Amino acid sequence: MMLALGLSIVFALAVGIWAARSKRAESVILPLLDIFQSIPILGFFPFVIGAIYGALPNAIGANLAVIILIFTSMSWNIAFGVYEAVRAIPQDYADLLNVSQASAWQRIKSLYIPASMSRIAYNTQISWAVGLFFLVASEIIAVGSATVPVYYGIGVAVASFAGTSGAVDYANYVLLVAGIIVAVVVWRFLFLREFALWSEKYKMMEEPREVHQDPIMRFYSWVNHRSISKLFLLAHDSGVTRFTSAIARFRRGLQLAVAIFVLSFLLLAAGGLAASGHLNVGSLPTLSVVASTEASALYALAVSFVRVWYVVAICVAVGVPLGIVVSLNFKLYDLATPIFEVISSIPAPILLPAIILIPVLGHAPEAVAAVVITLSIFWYIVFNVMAGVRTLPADMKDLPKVFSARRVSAWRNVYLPSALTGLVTGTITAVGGAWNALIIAEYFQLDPTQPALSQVPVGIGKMITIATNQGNYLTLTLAVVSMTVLIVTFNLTVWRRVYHHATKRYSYNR
Amino acid sequence: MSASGQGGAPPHSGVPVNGATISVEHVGLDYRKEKEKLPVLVDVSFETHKNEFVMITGPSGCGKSTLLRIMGGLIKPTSGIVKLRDQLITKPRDEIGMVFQNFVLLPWRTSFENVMFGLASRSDLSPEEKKQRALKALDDAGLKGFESVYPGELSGGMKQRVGVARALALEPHVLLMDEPFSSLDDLTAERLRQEIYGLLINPSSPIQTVIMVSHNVEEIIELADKAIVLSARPGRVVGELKVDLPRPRNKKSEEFFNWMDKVYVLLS
Amino acid sequence: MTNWPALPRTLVMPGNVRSGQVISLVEVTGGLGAKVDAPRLADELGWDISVLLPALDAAEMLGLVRSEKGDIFLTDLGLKFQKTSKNKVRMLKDMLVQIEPFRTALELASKKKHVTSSEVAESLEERGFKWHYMPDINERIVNDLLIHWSIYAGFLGYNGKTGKFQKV
Repeated sequence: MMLALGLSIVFALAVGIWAARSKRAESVILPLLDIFQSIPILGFFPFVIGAIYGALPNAIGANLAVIILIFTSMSWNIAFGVYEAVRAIPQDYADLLNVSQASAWQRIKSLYIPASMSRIAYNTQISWAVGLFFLVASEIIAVGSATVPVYYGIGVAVASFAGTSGAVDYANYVLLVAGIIVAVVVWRFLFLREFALWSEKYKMMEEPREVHQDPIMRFYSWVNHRSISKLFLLAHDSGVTRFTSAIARFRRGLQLAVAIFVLSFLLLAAGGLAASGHLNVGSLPTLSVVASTEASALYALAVSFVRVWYVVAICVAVGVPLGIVVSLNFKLYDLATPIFEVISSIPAPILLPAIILIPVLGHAPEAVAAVVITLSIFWYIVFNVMAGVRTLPADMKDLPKVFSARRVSAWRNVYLPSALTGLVTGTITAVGGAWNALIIAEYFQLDPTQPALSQVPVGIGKMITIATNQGNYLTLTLAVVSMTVLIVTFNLTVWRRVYHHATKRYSYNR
Repeated sequence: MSASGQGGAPPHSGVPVNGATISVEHVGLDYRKEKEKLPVLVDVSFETHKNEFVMITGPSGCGKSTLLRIMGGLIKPTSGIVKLRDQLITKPRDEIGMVFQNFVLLPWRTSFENVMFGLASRSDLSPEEKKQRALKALDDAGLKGFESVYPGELSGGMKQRVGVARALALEPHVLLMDEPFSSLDDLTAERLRQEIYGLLINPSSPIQTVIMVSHNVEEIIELADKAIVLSARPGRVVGELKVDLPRPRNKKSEEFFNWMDKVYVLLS
Repeated sequence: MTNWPALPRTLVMPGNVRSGQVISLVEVTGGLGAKVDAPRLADELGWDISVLLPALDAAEMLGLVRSEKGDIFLTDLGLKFQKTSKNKVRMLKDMLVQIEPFRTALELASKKKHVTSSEVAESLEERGFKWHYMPDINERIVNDLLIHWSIYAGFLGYNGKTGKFQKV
């Protein structure tokens, strides 16, 4: 994990600074980061594993693959943070360095790195939890794939406890989970919080400290950076509503970014296939096979699409009122926040074996899938709603009281609209998370020699997982590509409009 | 800004001509933080009367905004009481209107909808009556034609007019204003000051007393019939000045400056 | 000095002037005897040049003042304006509709029933008028001008929900 983090930070610094300093780089890098941020990472994992393990068929390769995966889950977000931090540096400092003719390295060392530090630290806090999710998920996948022996790791431990006899070794499992929870909490306090506090001394602006002690507010700023296309955020910030020359630049950059992305994917896929010895011209599949596979992929995709949305709908229906109620009441807020924080740091995949145990759920794989996805994404929505309501000025919160408004009126006119922008960004992130969670949630098998512990009838996540386990690269490629295309297109079209409308009318800025 | 009561409002009942409209009696407020008790206001007492423009001032943090909110029924004092004529104020009431420094308009609603939000609790009025009141309030506040405009498209002065309209729609007897013009440019603020004063002395307007919190000593002397000066935290009344300068008041006259000096003395 | 023939000039309202400023300018000038020199006026109003000059331009365009060698005089219209107590801006309607963007806005609104500030801005840009080189900011300026002048003057109505102005 630490390696991945280290890698992420270095990468983020490099990319973020480059993007902040060069307009041309910016116009390509930002869309690229956007795309990478929205693709379902777990879907690409098999390729990464294939490529790297194929090249280094040993423990190092396997672990490296996992590290790279975690890296991909964390780095884009931190890169955005660096980019924004560097952009926010007051011109004076930049001028100072110009005047003193500092060398590039000095500039980086003495200005950019410190300036980005606090952003990095805060983004790390939450990226950590995300990374943990992928760590466990990827290890579980790796174990399932039967071709990649991953020896160390939490996910492996979970798998080992669970799979040895086809039944779950409860006692050890419970101990493990408890241990993980403790570890996560302790880690958060020992390392993450200290890291964040230490980085405070590098802060340039006068920001009230209290805001940052509040985990919900930190989460909010993280998710804000993580969610939808930065293009919209940037456009929104500068008050630009239509395309201007800046956006036109981004448009061109976007095209280039898509091209780069597709190219790198192809390379990766080819690398994976070649390394695993599957690529030989003679055995290229026939068109009809491709077509039928794609058809079943699309069908699975459609089913999963519905699944994602109904789970998100439930999370919204529960999360919004919960978030609003908790945020309005100070005592409740102080009580609930640490609890939420702890629960949200537990990576959902770890709990899978436990979920299956719950009697009702054990025989309802659809419910299992729904629960797993919910556990992964619920917090995105709740925290965002909470942060949105918390940023409301006190007088506004009092408004219903001043005018003796009834509760329905207060909710309809004040609380719900105030939560809206937060809800939108939260939902966007939640949907992204749901797609990733699908891959684990729809098909869960710990011991490749035993039948799956839980599987839904149809789903793209299931398709991908099975394809990975069987080494069926054709299905895998088609499934992953279809999924990615859907997600990225959705992001670029639907979300943009929704975000635009939400922020135009509903963001509170004086 | 003009005002007339809805269809010839009856004179306000139960008030002898010189009786107090708002009386603040030994009000104190403590702020509880963790285990500590921090006094914010201590033993504040004063009265306001019909046709009086009352200004409340004091150094930053002295609790004047908090005092206003206690008078508005939003905060419960730790000790003491506030009365509207002879009734205890324990929660917000229609007779006491409130206007905020930062306007506090709902950005996702038009001016008309913002004013209607203020009227929402009035189940005794029909929707048509509410609509008429809202339109009239906006007109009185100088915003005829702007009913369907969103706050984001309005200037600061116009936003504050919506805030005033929202308060006026309930036909309050007392108008509480918390530094209402401090975010506006001088000229807009000046125009609004005159209009608020006009509302007070206009016999067909329901407003009998205006109580305004301000930091601006010039504004204080320009408007006040009575100026209440609080000390630094914890806020106590250190002076109650009856400003008897004849109106219209000349801001450049020597008497004006003398009065301003009196306030400054009390502030330091 | 040769007298060049007066070229037809399109009147354009400066982007940052609001009716309140013009009102104050006329009132203060009137209060000082309907004639004042520019520096004194700036002083009385408490405005710096970046605010005063455009406001003066606007007041001149509207026929309320005239300036001569650094002195500012109220015209007859200006005097009448100063004395009007209710809804002064309505008086300016006839002058306003000759000034851009109001002229184009009214023209388009008469032809098409409603018009958005975006359409007005585009139409003006085609004829070479704009307040800012970035189209979005330009549109916002047009929107602000239309909202702040034409509603008070009473020749356009505005619906925030649709973003459309219509002829009153």
